[in-house]
Amino acid sequence: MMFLAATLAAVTSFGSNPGALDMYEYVPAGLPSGRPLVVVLHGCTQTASAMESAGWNALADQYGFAVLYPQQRSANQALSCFTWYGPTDIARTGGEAESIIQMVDTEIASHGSDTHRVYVTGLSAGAAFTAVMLAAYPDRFEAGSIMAGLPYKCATDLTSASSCQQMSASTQKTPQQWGDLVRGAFAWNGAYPRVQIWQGTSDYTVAPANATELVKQWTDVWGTDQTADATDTISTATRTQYMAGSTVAVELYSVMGMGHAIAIGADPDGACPATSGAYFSDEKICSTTRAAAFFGLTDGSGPGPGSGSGSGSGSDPAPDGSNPDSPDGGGCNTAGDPGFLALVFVGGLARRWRHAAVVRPRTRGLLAGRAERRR
Amino acid sequence: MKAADATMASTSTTYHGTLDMSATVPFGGVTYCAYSITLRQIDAMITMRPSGEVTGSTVQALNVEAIVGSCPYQPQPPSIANYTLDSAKVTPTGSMLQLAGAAANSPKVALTIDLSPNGSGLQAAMTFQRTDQTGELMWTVKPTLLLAPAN
Repeated sequence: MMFLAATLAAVTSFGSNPGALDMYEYVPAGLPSGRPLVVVLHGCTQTASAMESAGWNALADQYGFAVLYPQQRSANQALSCFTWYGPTDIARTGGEAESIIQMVDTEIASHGSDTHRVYVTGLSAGAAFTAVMLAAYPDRFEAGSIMAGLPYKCATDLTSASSCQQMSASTQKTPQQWGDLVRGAFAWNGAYPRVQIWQGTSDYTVAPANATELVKQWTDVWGTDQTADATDTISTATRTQYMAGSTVAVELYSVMGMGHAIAIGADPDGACPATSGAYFSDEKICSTTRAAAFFGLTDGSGPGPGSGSGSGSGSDPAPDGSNPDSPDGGGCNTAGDPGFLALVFVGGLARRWRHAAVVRPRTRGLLAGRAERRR
Repeated sequence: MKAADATMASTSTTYHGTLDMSATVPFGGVTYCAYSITLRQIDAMITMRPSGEVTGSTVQALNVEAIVGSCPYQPQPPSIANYTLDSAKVTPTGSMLQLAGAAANSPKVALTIDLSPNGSGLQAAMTFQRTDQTGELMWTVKPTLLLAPAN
């Protein structure tokens, strides 16, 4: 394969691959099983390696998780865009979304990635496809970070895709209309993934109104309103949070003056692992570390010692959306690391709560339970 | 299941497309005579890496102005305009190209191309906008070309 730095490894066999994508991964040496997985999606005319500039690999080394980089093929799509407007590709089966889930399952099978700590992020078309993955597979992703993206199913062909980028009043929808599109993607009664949104106020490619529409869509899915519960200013960005119970269900970073790009740079909260590159803009705020924090990846200790054996099977969830494969952390070699033992225990408990959640109706009580699990 | 090869080709691909003539766009007609502009023989070439990153683009068009109605002042004579790639930016559906007009171009026109996939080829939604006039003498022509692999 071409275009890839030595740090990424190609994985050539990962299922039937109905969307005809390529798969690359970054797995820190000695990563034990039971660790999280982050899926990173590139934009049009980019490759997987272009997204390495975001610094996810460095965070993976530091905090202990695997990184999956799907890549579009030019034979599949001339400009290498993930097809976020293609009805088959954004459906749960039969296209690119299913290919990416097959990659996730392969990571779970190969590296024992924690089935309940899988996250997704992306830029531009990759961001739009992040919304696709969260909508089509709410049972598989805990959270996502959408960077200069668009609402799920805003478009179902190339013409409407162009309209969505500008997001004029005629393209906008009510929260319920947007939410219905997500709910129509998969019959799911469990808690939906938490969503973080990044948008430059001077993005003339993806109009900032898209961020507003994304907030409408995902707050509605979470059953909460569109009134901000918290707002603060961080460097060049305004952060707005929307709560469901005590959980930050949706979080929007609006970056003043930024164009169509991923925000990087020295962050008041700490170092940024990102490096300069096309479509990475120094805004003195680090979207990579903030996405990682939103995912909960930076809360605990690193991966700890020991390699352990794979603990996940990667099997598909049951038709009702529950996942019968609940390894509860089995197979990990904690090798005398009490901190890691505690993490495994908490992780196992979290899985049980999730299983309880999926058979309960979508209520405030469920949201509160989810919040408790996270904090 | 999509049919696709297992690896990306290692070489760049050049796409080529032509359009005999654009729609005719009126301009003037208020304090100036009424004229029209038609772009003829539009010829576009775009080269991209296997990733879809655009590395080169040239466009040529013949500007043909005409009088609408009657006017004692003749329009500019037909002129060939050439454009070359200045920059390319990622969009969620492909790439937005900015092309620079050659110094000899008259009138001065800015050209942007919204590039998106079209089967095995490309769709180039072009916007030619005259920049050396304002108000009623400024015009914008928006032809769309389909480009196919040329190599």
